[in-house]
Amino acid sequence: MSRPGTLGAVSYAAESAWGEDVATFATRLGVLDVVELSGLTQAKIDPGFTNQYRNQGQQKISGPMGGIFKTKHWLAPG
Amino acid sequence: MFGGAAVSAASGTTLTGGTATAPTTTASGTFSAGSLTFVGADADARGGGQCYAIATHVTTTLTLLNALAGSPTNGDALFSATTVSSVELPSTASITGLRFLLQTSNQRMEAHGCFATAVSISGLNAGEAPFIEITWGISWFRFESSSTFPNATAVEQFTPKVASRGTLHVSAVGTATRSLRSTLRSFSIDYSLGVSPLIGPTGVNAFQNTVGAVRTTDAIMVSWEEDAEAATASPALAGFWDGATNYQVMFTHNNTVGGRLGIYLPNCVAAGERPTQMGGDVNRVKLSLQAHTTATTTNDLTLAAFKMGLA
Repeated sequence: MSRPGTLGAVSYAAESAWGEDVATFATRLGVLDVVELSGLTQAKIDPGFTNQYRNQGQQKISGPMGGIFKTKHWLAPG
Repeated sequence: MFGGAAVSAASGTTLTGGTATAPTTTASGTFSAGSLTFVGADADARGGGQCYAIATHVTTTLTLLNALAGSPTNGDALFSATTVSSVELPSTASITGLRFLLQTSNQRMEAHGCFATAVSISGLNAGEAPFIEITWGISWFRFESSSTFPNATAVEQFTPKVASRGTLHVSAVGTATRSLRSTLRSFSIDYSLGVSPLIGPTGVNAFQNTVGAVRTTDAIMVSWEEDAEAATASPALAGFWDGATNYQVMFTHNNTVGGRLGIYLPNCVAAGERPTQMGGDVNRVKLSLQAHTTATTTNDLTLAAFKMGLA
């Protein structure tokens, strides 16, 4: 069941190696507005096979991950 | 995301005297060259709680790049400020990846190999609260459900103050004499981060093609509007644009302890359109400058084209 979209939290940690598969997030940031996940993207790519019937099709290729997300913060001394 | 962040000194100190450009400090040699500080208190006719750039702090002489309003008196406070800065050396162009846990009340997502691709600083005008919006690029992500929500980790949440009692100092590089734009109406920074993702096959995830990121060249523009002058053949802001002088710009957003924010661009050149006059309810004039690396090559901090002080 969907829950309120205004609730969220953002935590982070610096990586020791780029993109390492580690799931600890030591610091929770004070952020403004909604945590929005829709900018994280991974598209299906059409394989483009030549077909013999008008609407014939095949499974598509899972593409690379990418995209963006945004965080907004007050500029204030800690 | 800018590359540099350090306190100007481990702790603040007080001034004992000296001049408006070279105050004498109680502590000896503790403030970093190139860092920012805040001096004094509101309406003291000296530091005024405004932001100042430090050239050097040798023994007890603090040489400033923009001068106080008057010579300090014994006991005036000198504040350490967190100085966020651009990095300029080719050797500091690398970027450390970050990983984020993005939690909503439904889905939670881990994002790995994250790096800032854009920033936007807003809320710098009188009465506004300053904020920054950061756009993060990612290398790979996944859903997760093992974390707890609500998240029990203490949050680093800091409340700003609205712009008030600040100043805009603009003078030629090398001229510390206080020079304020007295009819400032708006101020903005347009900071275009120069970041280039590195694409390659060495990622840790099957669907990852970004395996790093490197800083390239930023484009840092500062603009402000002020009241139009009486008719003259040589308007002030047009004069900034006409000449070949490099300028330093120091903007103090708020001078209250705990909410102080200053932005310093130590080496700017005129850019964009020649200031003429903007219509509207009242006549205004706008000037844009582009910030560049300084000629003080001591280190990344003294070189930095952009600095932001918080205290």
